[in-house]
Amino acid sequence: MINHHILIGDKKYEFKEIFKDFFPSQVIFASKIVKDDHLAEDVVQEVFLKLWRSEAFFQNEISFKAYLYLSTRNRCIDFLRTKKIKTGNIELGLNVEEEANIVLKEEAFRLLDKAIANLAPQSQKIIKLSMQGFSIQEISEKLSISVNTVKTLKARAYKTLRNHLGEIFILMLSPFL
Amino acid sequence: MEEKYKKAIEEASSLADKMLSEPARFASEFNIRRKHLAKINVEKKWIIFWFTVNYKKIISVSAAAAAVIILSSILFNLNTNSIDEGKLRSQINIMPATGSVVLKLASGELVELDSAVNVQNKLLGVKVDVGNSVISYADDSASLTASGIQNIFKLKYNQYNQLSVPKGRSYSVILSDGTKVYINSMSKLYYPVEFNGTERRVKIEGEAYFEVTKNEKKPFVVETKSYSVKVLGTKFNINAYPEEKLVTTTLISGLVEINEGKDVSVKITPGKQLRMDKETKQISVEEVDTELYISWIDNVLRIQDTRLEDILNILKRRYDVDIKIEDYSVLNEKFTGKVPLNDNLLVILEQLEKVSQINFTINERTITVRRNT
Repeated sequence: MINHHILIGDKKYEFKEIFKDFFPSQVIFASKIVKDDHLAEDVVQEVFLKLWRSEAFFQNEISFKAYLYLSTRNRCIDFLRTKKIKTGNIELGLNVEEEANIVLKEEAFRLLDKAIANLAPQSQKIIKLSMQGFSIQEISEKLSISVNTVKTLKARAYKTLRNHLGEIFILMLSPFL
Repeated sequence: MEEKYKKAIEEASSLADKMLSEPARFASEFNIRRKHLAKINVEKKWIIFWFTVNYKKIISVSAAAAAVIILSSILFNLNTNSIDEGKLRSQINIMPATGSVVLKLASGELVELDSAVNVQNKLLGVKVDVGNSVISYADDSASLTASGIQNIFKLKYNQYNQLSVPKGRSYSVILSDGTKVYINSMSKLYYPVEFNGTERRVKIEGEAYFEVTKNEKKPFVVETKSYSVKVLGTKFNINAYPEEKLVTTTLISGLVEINEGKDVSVKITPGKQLRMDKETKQISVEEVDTELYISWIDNVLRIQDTRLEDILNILKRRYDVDIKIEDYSVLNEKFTGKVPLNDNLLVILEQLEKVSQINFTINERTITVRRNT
């Protein structure tokens, strides 16, 4: 009924897609700063509200993502500040290095998730189990397929994933495109 | 500060690569994150967000033109246990209809695909997965026993087969060229066991989603009663139910060409939907949210500003019920949201009631629709 877009470089993205793509990641990032999952969701909701109202334009993907993570971070710190002042503790959250490290990891996990979501269902299962730390033998037992099949599918999936990660875009095409 | 963040984001894809190479090092973090992700319901958050940002607009529009505009009601995602089963007004349980999927061979012989015994005796060389509702003619899945070969031979002579999917069911076919077809309830697909000749031609009545294997030398043609769709290799959905006013083709990827008679030929690109009015033959091409038109594959009904009449038509094809309309104006009420198509019908109806002024009365298999007074 009412559409909204975000301009990044010369591309136009549907707000809804951006929201679905980044909301979970921002919540995970925020919860590491405020240490409360529900509060993190509220904070991120506000970040997206601000984004919606700002109708901002971004030069490229990197500046868009940096803006998003920074907004979430700032909103978290605002919150901690009001809360900490009440409790009399001045020390706020984390230091910049630590923050950048969390951003790096979260963004890497997010990219990986997106790339994995594009694989065939069986390969997705294999990669997810492998990421959870299961060995090839264990995966073969869990999925009742032969060790060799697991090996082949895994090798093939890795190749696809690496190709995807090389060319990854913020809105990596959904499985249907 | 910003620079540090930008640098982190730039380095993310090489870290992702590293995570793939050394899963053991990142496994515990991966698992913690996975558990957290599972708790976040993005669909629901999006609906809440959408409602928040559009609230003022909705109110002002409705204040200005309340009498004319009927607002689209929002249905929340029902998969999130928001419905308390115990509160349903009756214990009537109307589950999707369960007729049998029937394959009619060119010889006229009928084979029920839900019976493993039947299938094994009559369709050697063709793989039927009864549990997952899939029949496959693709080469690698054929089990070539001696009698199987004989049967394939016979089947090739039996030119066109017809697969009928009844009310409440859906079924997939993998054709001999590897093309996947998901067939919706109350639909029929006509197809040859093997594609000979210069093109691959099938016919559809009702609704189907196609994932066509690319073969530029042999175009794939889908015929409906109103028009035919020609493709090389793409994903698209065709809706050509006899009771619907429009015949629509929704393109997910690739390129398709739609032909009607000799005069009309239209090409559409991904994200577009071609609609033809069956009576007037008028054609229009619209940009659409394609997910809305293929969600049925996952047994979910995703709707956006969809009229109650269209929703009831879909439900009638899934559930064995008669629907009586007492006040026809309710058919124009619009709904937005997501509901399961494989659940108790009452769950869906109660949700529709909750967000509108519509009342459903259920008497055995007859549902009466009226406006709350």
